[in-house]
Amino acid sequence: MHSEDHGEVRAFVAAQRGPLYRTAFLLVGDPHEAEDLVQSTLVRVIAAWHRIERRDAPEVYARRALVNLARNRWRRRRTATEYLRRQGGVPSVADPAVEVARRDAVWAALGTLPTRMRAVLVLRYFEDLSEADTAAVLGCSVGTVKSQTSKALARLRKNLQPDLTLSPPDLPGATEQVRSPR
Amino acid sequence: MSHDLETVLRVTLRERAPETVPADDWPQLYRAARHYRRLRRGAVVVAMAAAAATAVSVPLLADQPEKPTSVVAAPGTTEEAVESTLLDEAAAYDRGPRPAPRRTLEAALAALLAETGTAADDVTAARVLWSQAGPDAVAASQGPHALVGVRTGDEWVVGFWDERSPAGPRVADISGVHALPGDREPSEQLIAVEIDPAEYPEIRGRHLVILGPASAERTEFVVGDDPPMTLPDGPFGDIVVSPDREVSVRAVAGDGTVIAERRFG
Repeated sequence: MHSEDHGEVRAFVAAQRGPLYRTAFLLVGDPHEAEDLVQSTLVRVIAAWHRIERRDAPEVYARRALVNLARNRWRRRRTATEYLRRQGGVPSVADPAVEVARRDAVWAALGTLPTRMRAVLVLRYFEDLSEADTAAVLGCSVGTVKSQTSKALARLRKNLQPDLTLSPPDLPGATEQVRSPR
Repeated sequence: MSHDLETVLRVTLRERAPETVPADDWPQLYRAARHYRRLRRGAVVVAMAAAAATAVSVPLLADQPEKPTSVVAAPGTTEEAVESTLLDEAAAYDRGPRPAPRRTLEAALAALLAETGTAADDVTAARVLWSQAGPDAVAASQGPHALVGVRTGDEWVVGFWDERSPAGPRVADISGVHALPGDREPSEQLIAVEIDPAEYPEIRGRHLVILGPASAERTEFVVGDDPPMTLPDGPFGDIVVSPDREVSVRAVAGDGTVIAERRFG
């Protein structure tokens, strides 16, 4: 990297580190893992800065790298996580408030989804990316994003405990959310 | 609140997303990126060899053929798979960009304070200058390790920490301490920490942990009258030389100017 690029890259890191860390946490559910993931992602972005600038928006490249790294990481961690789950080592948080319990249940159910489905939901419902932008990050078609979103929501609903099951959307077209500024 | 799943999901994700973000560590990120680029170059060579041969065993890094680590790729192995294996190997041999876990770094800083008798209240700044997560080729039993520094008064004190020092489970110890002027960031100074020989009894020699300044084009060392040798892995180096020989460690600019130098012995 040339020295004149340092300013641009540092500005990118400063601006994107927070959003990437939050998305990483939502993908992996562990702050240390998330930090490692962001570090690895930014290393790749910095190392490939010139190539990225020519071909892609750095933000899109970074999110794609983040999701890919999370997928690779999950492949390696699956066995250990499954073992912990069987041993009861993955605690669930109980809360008397129904709404809190419902969100706990959704969070826990989110953790049971395959990486790609979880990524689709995080990008769509946390990052507020459009279907087209989500497709660009994941390197797939808009149709795939739609079908993955639908399947992921169906699996979430199915995986929730019966007493916490949530009703389908109240309004037609409720899946198209308005972007909210953050 | 509506009970529709998408609304609850949206609220849940926002609720769970952490508000605070760990501090940026630009020098370490930049060094890691440089290191990763070297790995990538090695990966391309491995992938080409995998496509051409029935089975190949090639050096981990294309530009470091003397390194013992190798990847064996079966015919038909994809470039992605080869690269993934290569990076796993790299991490296993502590050659990858992955830093030590945060808990290790916190322990390292605590150890430095304990070693130097510094009260936490006297520390005006702290830095993790370098960290790696796995065993090292020099000392196979080496665990996650780090170079950390704290500033007190008008100087930085830098130390090398190894979570699994062969000398024993001395988690409160730090194996080398080195003072630097406090008016510049440690990342802009030449760091060369001499490790206590008792710490690594299997290493019979002068053991130096080196970190060149970010501004240097290369970091090199000279043993006695021998020609200079450039650290092969960028600014970070872990070298062992005969205990009776003098060693000079130098940070060198692109035009060959010696920016900084430290002598040992």
